[in-house]
Amino acid sequence: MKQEIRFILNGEHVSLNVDPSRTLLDVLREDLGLTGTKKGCDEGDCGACTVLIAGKPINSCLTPMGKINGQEVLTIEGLGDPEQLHPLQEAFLKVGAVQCGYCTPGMLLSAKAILDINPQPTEAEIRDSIAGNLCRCTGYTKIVEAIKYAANLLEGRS
Amino acid sequence: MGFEYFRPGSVEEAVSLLFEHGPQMNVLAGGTDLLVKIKHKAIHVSKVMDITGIDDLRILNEDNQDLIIGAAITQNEIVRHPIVAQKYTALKEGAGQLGSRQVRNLATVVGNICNASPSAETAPALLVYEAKVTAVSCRDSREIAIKDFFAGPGKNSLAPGELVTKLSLPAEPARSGSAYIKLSPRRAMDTAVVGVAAYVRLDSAGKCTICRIAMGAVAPTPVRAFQAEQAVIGAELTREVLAEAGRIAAEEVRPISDIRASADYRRQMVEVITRRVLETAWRRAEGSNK
Repeated sequence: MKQEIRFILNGEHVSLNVDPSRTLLDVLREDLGLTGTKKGCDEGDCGACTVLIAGKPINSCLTPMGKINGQEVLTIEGLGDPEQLHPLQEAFLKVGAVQCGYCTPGMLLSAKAILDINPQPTEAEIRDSIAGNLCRCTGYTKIVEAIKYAANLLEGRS
Repeated sequence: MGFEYFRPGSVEEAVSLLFEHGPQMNVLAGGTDLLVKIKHKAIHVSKVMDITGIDDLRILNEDNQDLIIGAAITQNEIVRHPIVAQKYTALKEGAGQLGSRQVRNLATVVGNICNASPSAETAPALLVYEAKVTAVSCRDSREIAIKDFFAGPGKNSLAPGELVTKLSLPAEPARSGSAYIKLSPRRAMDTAVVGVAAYVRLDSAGKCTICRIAMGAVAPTPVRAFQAEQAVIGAELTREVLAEAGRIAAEEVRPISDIRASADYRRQMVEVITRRVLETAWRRAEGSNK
């Protein structure tokens, strides 16, 4: 049975008539065409579907739409844009932290979540913050470097 | 996933939904266990009640010095809470090692114990604090001691129609300390091979007056090591006491062999981890002024 779900998506008010048992991931990809959020394992292990709710990273594959009512959701589409990249995106490109790219949207959002609360994380804190985002290409080294680089970029600008 | 979704706004509404729909109604908090089971088709679910919209279940504070943890409080809310960090270290350490950050932002402490996995990450800590579980139904409300809450792998002792609303952890006096150590091959995103929590309270001379040890993933439910505790009470911290407690704890467990470890390995690791966690809790009690 469909319900009206209202929330803020990437800064804009959205109102949808959807089945509240469907996952946020499926609604983002199938109904809203926001395919930047990836479906990997679809059971909360790989982190490819990571989005931020009220600034906190969660697995959108484990989040029914019913929980989204009244929430503020940030997906990768809301982080920077091609003309003006977010410093994290700039850093990932600069350092070479992207290979196949499938984990990248989730990685960027997990990285944003940690930098928002801890602008200069240690390497251990960075690794801990992306422990729920699996990457099978990079070996993580460049990703960790990129997050450090972005932390410095952000610090320089503020 | 296709189930009927309910989102009550109050505990009264939630328990009357449970009463009305009976065992068909599944309670969802974080959803990190239930939704995975539904996706794997391990269970067929037609009705789900999401309790995270109930304000009364979002409590996390000290009430008469007891720590109250509402059923909608997530693992990460526990990890970040200053009182938990200061006084309930074992719980912080258990909650902080559950799943990933993404999962910890969804998963709840109460959900973790209601699912009653033998390896439930927060169970050993809650056992050593002797937490009380409040269960509410349409008719009444009761408190269940955490040691009586686990009934078997994946089974809790709730009666039909009961909803857990909160946990209460007794106040922690000065000269007490606790710790949780999880053994798992990976540092993140893995289930414990063995998890042990210890709680120690000392008198002014440094002798142990209360000792509690609890273990996960070594029996059909998370369990206390009551006999090992007896070997510690009244003692001072020595290498021999720690070794003896570890040895007895290893005799008390009933582990199984599975994909993660053999029963023999688990038993040996209980001995080692118990020794280490007990020493850590003891050192914290010596250093505590709370």
